[in-house]
Amino acid sequence: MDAVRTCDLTKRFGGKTAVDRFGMRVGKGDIYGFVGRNGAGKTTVMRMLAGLAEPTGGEVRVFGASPKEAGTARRIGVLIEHPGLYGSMSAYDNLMMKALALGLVDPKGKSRELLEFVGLGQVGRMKAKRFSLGMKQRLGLALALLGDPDLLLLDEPLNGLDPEGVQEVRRLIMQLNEQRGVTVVVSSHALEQLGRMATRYGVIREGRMVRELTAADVERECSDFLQVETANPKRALAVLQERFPALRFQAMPDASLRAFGGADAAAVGAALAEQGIAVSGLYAHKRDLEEFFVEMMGAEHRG
Amino acid sequence: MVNIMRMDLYRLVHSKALWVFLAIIVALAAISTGTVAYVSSPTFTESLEAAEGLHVGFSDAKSTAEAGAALGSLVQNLSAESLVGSSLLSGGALACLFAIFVAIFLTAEFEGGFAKNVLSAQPNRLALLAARSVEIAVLAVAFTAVSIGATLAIAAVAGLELAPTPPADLALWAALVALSVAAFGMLTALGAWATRKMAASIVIGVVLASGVVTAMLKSALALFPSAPHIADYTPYSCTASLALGLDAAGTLDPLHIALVTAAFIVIGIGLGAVALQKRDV
Repeated sequence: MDAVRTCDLTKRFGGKTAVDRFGMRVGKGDIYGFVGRNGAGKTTVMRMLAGLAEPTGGEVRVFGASPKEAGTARRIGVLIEHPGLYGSMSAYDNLMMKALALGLVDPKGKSRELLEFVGLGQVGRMKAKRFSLGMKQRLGLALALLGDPDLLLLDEPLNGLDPEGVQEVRRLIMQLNEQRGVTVVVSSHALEQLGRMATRYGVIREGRMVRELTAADVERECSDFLQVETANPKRALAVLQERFPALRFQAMPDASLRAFGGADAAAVGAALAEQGIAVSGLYAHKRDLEEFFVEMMGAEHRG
Repeated sequence: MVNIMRMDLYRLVHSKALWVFLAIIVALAAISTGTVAYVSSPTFTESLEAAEGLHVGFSDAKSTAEAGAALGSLVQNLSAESLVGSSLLSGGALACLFAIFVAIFLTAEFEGGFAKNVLSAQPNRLALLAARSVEIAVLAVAFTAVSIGATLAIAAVAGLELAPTPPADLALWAALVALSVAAFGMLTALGAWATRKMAASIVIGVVLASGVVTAMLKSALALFPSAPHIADYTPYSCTASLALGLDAAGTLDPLHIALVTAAFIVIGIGLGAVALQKRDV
């Protein structure tokens, strides 16, 4: 059974479709990097996964059930957008209230334990409104962890954290995943950080899932590619696809072609020359993770 | 539902809002009852006698001293209901304070975003509605009890003698006051769930509890002399009637008050269910 599965998930706000027939699969134990531009629909999807927003159409299943079922909701820890806090109350009080709402057996003990876990043990009695953004994020994470959830939905959890904080939260997420088997869906613009922890990725663009891929897929696709620039990219693409079926080609908006999968520059150049296609540029390139995802977020994947 | 109530109880006890509002009620009761006690005291009558020629407002009084005596006898006939009514019910003071408190209490979780934690812990919004409805009813009883208790305690301390009221009548009157306060609380809660904005909810609560809507309704109904007393079917009319007591001339029947206020509570709960279910967090 998948931890999360959505089918044709749709959300409309008035006439605007924010999420459009969205399909997503998150396996148990995954750290799922959810990637997309601002306004692509990540937060809306997360809110529907958490049962905080009602889908206009389609279906969400979390551990095989609706996230609105009480038993399922308790298995989900949520940190969506900014952490929801009572600023006039202390960090400890904020945790106590959620612990009581969850009906935990030892709310005091659990609240203290989580304050220590996220590094706020010394400032637990301080009012939340006096916290820095990074401290609020940690408290939000502690709130999400109350009740020992099996699935964590973290929307931009690295926002506002200093480099040390980013590292700590990333370690925390990985620790939860490795030691407690918690499945994590995490969205972030810090793609390099995401790359260090995600085991699977989903890329959303304009409310639609562009592609889901494993960390191994990303690793492979970020490897060297060959950029080919010709006067006739359409014909060149046809020739290359026929000649090198094992390679994957991508037509870029600037009319260049990219060949993935260990393309040999000499062989590609020779194949095009044989067909009389003039080559104006042919060079190897290596993409970093950011470049890879930015490209995918901005253009339809044509692989 | 019980867990939500435990959470809210923790918040009520550990935040300042409840204590501030109860302190305001006690302060209002002290000022108002203290004024009444002073007016009924010999000191006040003597001061009036010393200020001959001062107009007090009793048209048939031949002298200021007579007017003072008339004022004193009026105060001496005060019942507990009338004293609390004049202190905290007339003008909708208690109802306004309660409406503002409910608006702050319910919208704070939306404005700060804590509602996400609440609804992820309790996804059943009808259970949330049930918990909050019970809380509003209990808080209305608490606000009413503090109002009555503080007013009577201060009256006792000030040596103000009140006309005796049968305990059963006083209990019935107190229950009706609590019911009317709860009705304003529920209507404010509806505004809070529909708008999720503190300022808007406070305005809605105060406009209803201060009688502005009822006054506007009465003005509009004045154009239709044959129209029945529709304004009597508003919670504010019930509160205004309770401010006079149960047996005073022109007051509404207790059953009428109970039915009208209960109906508005039910309407508030029903529409609150729609507002809570419809909107995303």
